[in-house]
Amino acid sequence: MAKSWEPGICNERSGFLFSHECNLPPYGTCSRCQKPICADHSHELVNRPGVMLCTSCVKKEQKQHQRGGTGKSRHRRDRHDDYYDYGEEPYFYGGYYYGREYYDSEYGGGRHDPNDFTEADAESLAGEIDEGFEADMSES
Amino acid sequence: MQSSSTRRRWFVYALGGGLGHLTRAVALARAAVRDQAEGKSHHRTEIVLLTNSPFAGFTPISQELGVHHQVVRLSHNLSRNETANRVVDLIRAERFDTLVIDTFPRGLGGELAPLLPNLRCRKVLVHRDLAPKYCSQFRLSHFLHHFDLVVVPGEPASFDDFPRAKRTAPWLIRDQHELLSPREARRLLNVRSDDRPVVAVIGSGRDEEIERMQCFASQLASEFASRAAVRFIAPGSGRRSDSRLPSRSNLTTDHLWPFFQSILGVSIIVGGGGYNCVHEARATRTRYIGLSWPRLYDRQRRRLQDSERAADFEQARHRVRTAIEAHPETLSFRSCNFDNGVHGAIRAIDAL
Repeated sequence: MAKSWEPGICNERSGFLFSHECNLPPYGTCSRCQKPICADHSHELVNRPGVMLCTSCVKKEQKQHQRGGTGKSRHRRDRHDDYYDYGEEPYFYGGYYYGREYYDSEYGGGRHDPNDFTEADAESLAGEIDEGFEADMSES
Repeated sequence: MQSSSTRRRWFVYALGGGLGHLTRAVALARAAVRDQAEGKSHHRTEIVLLTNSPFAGFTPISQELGVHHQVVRLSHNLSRNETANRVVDLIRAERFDTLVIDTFPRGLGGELAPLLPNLRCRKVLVHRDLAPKYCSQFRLSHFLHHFDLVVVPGEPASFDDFPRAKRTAPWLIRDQHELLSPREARRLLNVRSDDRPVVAVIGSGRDEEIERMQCFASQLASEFASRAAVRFIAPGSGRRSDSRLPSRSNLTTDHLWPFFQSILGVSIIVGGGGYNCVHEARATRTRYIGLSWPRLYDRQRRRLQDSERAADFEQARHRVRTAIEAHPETLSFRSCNFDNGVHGAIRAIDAL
């Protein structure tokens, strides 16, 4: 069953430092999940002008492409960046950054090393960084 | 014959941003102090109140807490580690029989977690709503067993079914009989008319939120100049508190804390989704329009009911206009009859 979204507000929860509700008015809807999204949480695909995705769907897309590209050459990754070049947007700092480091590693070109820093490690670490519990003494 | 009083000393931990933690803590401590002064309790309560609210420096806390109290203000500019070290030092140095912790069972920075199991005093948690992910990440359901009492102040919370939980009405910083009459309140708000609608826009929370609320209040003041008195309620009680805000010549700013004492003079409140504002408005049946701000622990959007929540400033403005134009009769005198949950909490603490 399709997920229902609350109309009239942006339903995206991705944040720079931690996930939180976004109460801005919607700018459009995500082409993939149909979620109402504000301008800040809308990302236009570089090679498909007019197609907007929400931040969560872009992140999922990036991860899928990374998985598909594990063990491939740098050129393959560069082609992904043609599609999803969001490195300068704050929503894509953090966990995804670790994924890039892994990709860029000289040791990542051949086999998958079970002792290496994996994407799952990055995700779990990103979760803690995203939330930031017990780190910010001005929170409430 | 007058019975002799016993001394009790409470350490109230109220770290956290904004004014919410501080206001809730003062509400409890103030009531405990006044109970003895009014002969309702034989305990002479001494309070040590710990805060790092950026507003604590220009909020008249001492006026609220009577003679036997100590307010420890930590700078909100300290790092997590600096704050944690000072909290630990203070708790080790102070003598108290009851530790009351607002909201964060492990402390805001987790600094209380190693201390709490070994503290030989009564431990009370004030359990306001918390983000479930925080609860699960730090296994708070297990950690809660270090507390002798968990007080749930008037709203659903993650562990309100904890065996040692005590639910109370929402905590308020004034009892009903302490509120100013509508006329007195309007004079305090610098409103001369007794029947003109009064819109109070509450400036609280983070700096940028206060600035946005002030800007919004200014817009309302211009739009409704002929139909309503718009007041911006600045945080704290001194001019220093809003020195960083831009000057807006069309807007009257009132420096009031606690604002609640003046609420009966107000027809419509525009505020955030924080605990105190929302429950103060509900207790007094005051029309409330709330914008939920993102918080790490507090789910403001969840607290606000559909009829209270505005998705953005434009919707808030529309609701103000609707209220003023369509239902002016409902904005005048309103009866209220509320129970202040702090008294039930004090009884529960005394019963330990």
